[in-house]
Amino acid sequence: MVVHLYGVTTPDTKPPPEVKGRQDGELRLVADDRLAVIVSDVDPDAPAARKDLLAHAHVLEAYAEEATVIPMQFGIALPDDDIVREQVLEQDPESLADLLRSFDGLVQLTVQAFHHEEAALREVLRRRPDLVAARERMRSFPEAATQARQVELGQAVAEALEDLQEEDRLMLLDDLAPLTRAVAENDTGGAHEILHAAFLVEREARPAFDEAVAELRRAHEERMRIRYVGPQPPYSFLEPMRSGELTWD
Amino acid sequence: MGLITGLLTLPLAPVRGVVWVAEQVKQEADRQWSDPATIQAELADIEAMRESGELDEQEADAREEELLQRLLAASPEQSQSLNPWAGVDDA
Amino acid sequence: MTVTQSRSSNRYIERPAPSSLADVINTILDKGLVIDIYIRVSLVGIELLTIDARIVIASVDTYLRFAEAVNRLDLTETETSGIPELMENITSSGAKGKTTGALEGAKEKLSGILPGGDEDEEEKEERPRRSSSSRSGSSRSSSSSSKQPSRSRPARKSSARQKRTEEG
Repeated sequence: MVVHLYGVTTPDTKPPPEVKGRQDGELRLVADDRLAVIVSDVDPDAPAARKDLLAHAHVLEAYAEEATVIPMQFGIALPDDDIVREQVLEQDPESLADLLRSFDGLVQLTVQAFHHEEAALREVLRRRPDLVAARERMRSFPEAATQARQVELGQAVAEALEDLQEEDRLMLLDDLAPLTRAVAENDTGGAHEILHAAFLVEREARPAFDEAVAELRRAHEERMRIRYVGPQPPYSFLEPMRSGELTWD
Repeated sequence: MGLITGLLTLPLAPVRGVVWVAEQVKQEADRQWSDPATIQAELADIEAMRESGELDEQEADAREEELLQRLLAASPEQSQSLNPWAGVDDA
Repeated sequence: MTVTQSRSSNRYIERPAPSSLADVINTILDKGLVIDIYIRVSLVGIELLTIDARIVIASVDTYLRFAEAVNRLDLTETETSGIPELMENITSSGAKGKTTGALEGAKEKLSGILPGGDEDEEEKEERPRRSSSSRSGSSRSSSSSSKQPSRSRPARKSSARQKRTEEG
């Protein structure tokens, strides 16, 4: 067996009830008086599968409900607790303590938004009667609907759709960002994803943020789907914190 | 790379059975990637279908597992990273 | 008997969800502490990978598909200005989830070096605070804006956009 590492927290952190680690293992802390590493024993020969990746993430999220936790990347394991102590607790405790202090009282909440394709197109057409007219012209006079004209229409629609995506993205951010300490946007991927943002939120502000997301869902469900994930350790804010991009008093 | 700087950079005392993959092999593995873009997109799709109910939990789990294994199959080094200690004799 | 409308009764539905496998692999996997002594041959391809699906490849093919998708929409009214409600009421022909696929196919293509549009340049700039971009017109500042640095965003659009002229 080896020791799988989840993240670093304060030694007084209570383990979340009924949460198990990878391979259904018991979670425990390897701690000194300032820092604690969340670990569990794992069999290194068991093939890693989706449940391992998910267990790692969900353990961290369970801790994040109540505690500040600095996540370790998936895949870090050490032979035993002594080496954990040596390599994590004793290497650079100041940096770790600083990170814990910086993120004290904060959690990450992630929001994604996706356009419903057809509704988005309809909105585009609603705003652009010229595009509807162009479409109608091509339908009425198919001989004149050359490929060039179709390309032109398609391009115009594409651009208008991009504008709508951008507008909606900003609308969502304008609504949510004021409730938060910081925002970090990820690249959007996949079809019609218009927003993928990590928000750093004070714990006391969570209910208000929840409410704001719910309200956005209600108000815009026609045109978009909103995914809401968390609470998470501050994944997207570690690097900015370390590099100095993220500062507050 | 890591957030903890200044740590010991020498490898651990050798642990039996662990294969440390050299940088060159890693780069070769990277080149051999079989379109992780597709896999990432498919994972996102599966989640969306799970949420909409188009896929039931079992089916979604199974597909995710399949995708993950595909990802891992693309390069043995990736399996290595999920199981860096595979093959370690009991310490 | 009093029935109180309690906001908290909705809390359960409004709770955020745990991460999905997609979240872990697509977003989270490369984030977090590592320790140097352990040589991590990680899932590097995933780390490197970012799909900006809003990249619209400036190709004939892509735009044809947009035209096609627009063509397929069932609009019973051709006059759209002034009667948006009517448009809204037009039911879609299929389940919302079943997209035509034409647009999605186009958007999933990765592109290489992207021709920068004019707006793209300023969007690439790292903004110390997240404020509305110039495109939205008015600039607003949130009360805690001084505490809201944002990371730089990747360039969003690559299509070489021609000047749009609105046809009356």
